[in-house]
Amino acid sequence: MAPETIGKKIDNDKNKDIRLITQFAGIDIKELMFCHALILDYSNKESCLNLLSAIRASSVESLYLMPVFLLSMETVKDEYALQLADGVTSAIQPELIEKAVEILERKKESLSKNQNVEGKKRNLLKLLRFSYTRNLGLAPVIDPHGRFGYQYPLMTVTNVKNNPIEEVELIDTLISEKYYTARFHDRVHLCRTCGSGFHNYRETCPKCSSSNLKAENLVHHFVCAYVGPEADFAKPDTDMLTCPKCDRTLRHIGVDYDKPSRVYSCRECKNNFQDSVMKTLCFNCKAEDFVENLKEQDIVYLELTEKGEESARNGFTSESRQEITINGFVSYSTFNIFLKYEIERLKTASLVSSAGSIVLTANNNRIFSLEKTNSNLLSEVGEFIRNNAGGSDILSLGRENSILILCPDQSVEKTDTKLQRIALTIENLLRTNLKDDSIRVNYFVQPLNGTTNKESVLDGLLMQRAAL
Amino acid sequence: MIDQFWDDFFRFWFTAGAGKIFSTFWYFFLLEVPRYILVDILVVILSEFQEKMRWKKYQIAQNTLWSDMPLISIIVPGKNEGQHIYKLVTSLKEQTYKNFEIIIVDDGSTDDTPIICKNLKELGLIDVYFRNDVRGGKASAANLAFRYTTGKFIVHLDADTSFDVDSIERIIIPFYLDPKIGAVGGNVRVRNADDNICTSVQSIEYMQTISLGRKVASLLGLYKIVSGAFGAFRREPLERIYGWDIGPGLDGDITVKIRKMGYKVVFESRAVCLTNVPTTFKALRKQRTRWSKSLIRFRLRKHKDVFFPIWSFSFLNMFASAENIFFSLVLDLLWFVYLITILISNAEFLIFIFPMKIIIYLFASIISFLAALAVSERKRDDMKLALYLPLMMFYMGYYLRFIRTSAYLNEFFTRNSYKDAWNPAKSSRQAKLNKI
Repeated sequence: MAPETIGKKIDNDKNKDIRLITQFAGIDIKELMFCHALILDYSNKESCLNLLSAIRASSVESLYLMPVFLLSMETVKDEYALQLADGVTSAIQPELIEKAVEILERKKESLSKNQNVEGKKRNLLKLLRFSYTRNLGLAPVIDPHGRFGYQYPLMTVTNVKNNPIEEVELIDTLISEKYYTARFHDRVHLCRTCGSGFHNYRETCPKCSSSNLKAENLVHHFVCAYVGPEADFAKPDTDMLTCPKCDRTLRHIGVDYDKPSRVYSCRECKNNFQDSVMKTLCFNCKAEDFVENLKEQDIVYLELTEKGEESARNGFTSESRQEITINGFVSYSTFNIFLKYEIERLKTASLVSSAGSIVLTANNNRIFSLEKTNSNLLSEVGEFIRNNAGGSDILSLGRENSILILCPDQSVEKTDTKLQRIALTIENLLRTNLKDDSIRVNYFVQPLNGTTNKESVLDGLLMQRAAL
Repeated sequence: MIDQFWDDFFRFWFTAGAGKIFSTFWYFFLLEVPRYILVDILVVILSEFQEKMRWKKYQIAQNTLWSDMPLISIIVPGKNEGQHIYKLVTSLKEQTYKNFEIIIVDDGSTDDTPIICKNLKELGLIDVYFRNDVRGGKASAANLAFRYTTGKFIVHLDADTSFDVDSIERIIIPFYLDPKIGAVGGNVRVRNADDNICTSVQSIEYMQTISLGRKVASLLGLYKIVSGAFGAFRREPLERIYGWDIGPGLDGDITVKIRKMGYKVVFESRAVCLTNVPTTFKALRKQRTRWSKSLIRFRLRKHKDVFFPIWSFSFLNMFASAENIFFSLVLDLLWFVYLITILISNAEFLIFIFPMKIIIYLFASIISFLAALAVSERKRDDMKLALYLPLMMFYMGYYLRFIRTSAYLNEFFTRNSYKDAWNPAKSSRQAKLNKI
């Protein structure tokens, strides 16, 4: 229970500790840790946002995942606040808050404890868990004060260094590691030096790079063939254009004159030209650059994937799979290289090889998780396969409870027979020893030849795992 | 049979005597020999003598140019000339005189000119490149280029030309010989003379009418066309007249205007540029028709004031225009009268008259060619063209004369130079409306 001095406790049927905070001075967020939900008075906007940011910035899970609502009589337009809060209410409605708290708590219950992750991983887990518990992605909001014009509020409050390049890298990682999928929202152009998205776009002289340019339309007077900048045709005290060559007044564009193009004159170096060079000046670091050299960055809406949800619930189990070493097994990346060279070899000789995978599944997948207690099991399975596979077979741990096998110069049929035998034996052994009939060991085989695409082989073998 | 013909031929003319020859070919002996042979020979001798006399003065002018080192603005207006630009720029970069800026104006090209020129600009091979997406005509393109020049002298070039290494230096030196010289014409020679008969005969024609003919005209003070392919101008007169007027024939027009201002206009045969001439007789006809129409439109109509005693009257200007009109227009018309007279009065002797004419004109062509060769700076190359001399009577005497006369009459009665696609319709419409 939080101290009674913090805010006003809202009575509710479920006896949840829901606090309405209208006075923000002197609040220590650690004291909020035991609340079930908070309602922040948005009329004191600045203080309200400071507290909201501080809650979401916290690395304490019970704080950053806490349901927080804004109390406001008016519509809240601040996207930043809306992204960090769980909703806006115009009146205290304990039953609705209770409901929201219950939903969030149910979600929180599925999250595994004791996730000893540090630094970037911890921040990553925080993002995943926030998204997972809210069933929401990470949406970019316009940020005129930020470095590149957009921000992801939760990322911004978490990223204490407020380093935009790091933020961009984090987004790239989230997508490349398939925790989130990206949906295009906008594209920004960032400074190559500092990552800022705020630039002054300027037309500059191609000779001296000065932006002190004068642009004028050229006027062509048909009758006398005089061509010059519009200023040549200007006369004092009249808006009419008069030809300096024949002194006729220009009357009708397209009939007696036209404006065929435009000329820039540089006031610094007196250079005349038609194609100015677009350059940018970074408002942050003052670096000058060509527009085409700016770093293009897509601003995306991030939607949580199944893998992201899984990681939010259980932490980063699959990533450490490659850290397990089994005698006679090569790393996944080395397996990739072997597979590539095998396909190259097959291109030069009319031989046939094959590749396959053995996949372990069970109702309780934690049997095969890579926590230290279980890694021995996988190692033992691996060693068994090693001993029963051919001497020239190359083995590696796949990504999801799977073992990949490359069988050079072996037909699909031969490999199929071999893997069937191994899979059956392992399944019987595991079921007997672990007393779990839900354990299944499947296997898949794919032929290899000179035209095979390496990626599609790997995808094929790994997809089988996903399909189970 | 052929031997019989020649026996009859010689017997006929021996019997007829010199008087008959003269009365039959009076047009040649009275008009063409004095103007195109005697004067040419006399002037070649005089000019060689004059050049030797003025050698020191020329050297001083050359030294003054080098000590003054003025900036020269080279302007190149053109449309769809992309393929020639690189060659032109390379030839300019080889010049002995290097203090120049190159301004290229692309007058609505539809080929690769923009890409090529932008590339050359990035490489620093040209200084200014302007492009008008909508074509405005050659004069407007030249005027746009001129508007942005900063040099003391302006050199106007056609894009399909290339130059001897000292051509720019040579064309500027005359300005240091005489401050009254307002414009200098370069010596335009044919680059593609070896392509076919059409280009070979044009090459001989250029030797005779430009290299020699303009030298003669210049010496007599009657030089009247600073070629658009290669001409240099002092900035001041160009500024006073705000550049070129609408064409066709804008080079002749601007020369007259400069002369009217009291400037001298001279020809510099040592400033050599090479250009490509039409390779088919059809294209040649089109080109010459356009050139010939300008005689009526500009000399006879626009600049008829040279014949009136007004403030800008100059005897030489009047004589230059009169000579041009007389020898081109009047004599062409007279030639047809002469031809008809011969056909009617000597119909039964045409079989002897025509071969005689060929012999006389071949003889005249040889003399004229030798005179042109005497002033040529490429004697060895030009010698090869002698093979084509027998064709010159047909080419210059008939082919070009028919084209010229047809163009004169056409322009005189229909004013259809205003319909020439060489100028954009919008400009021609206004020029016609304003009787320019």
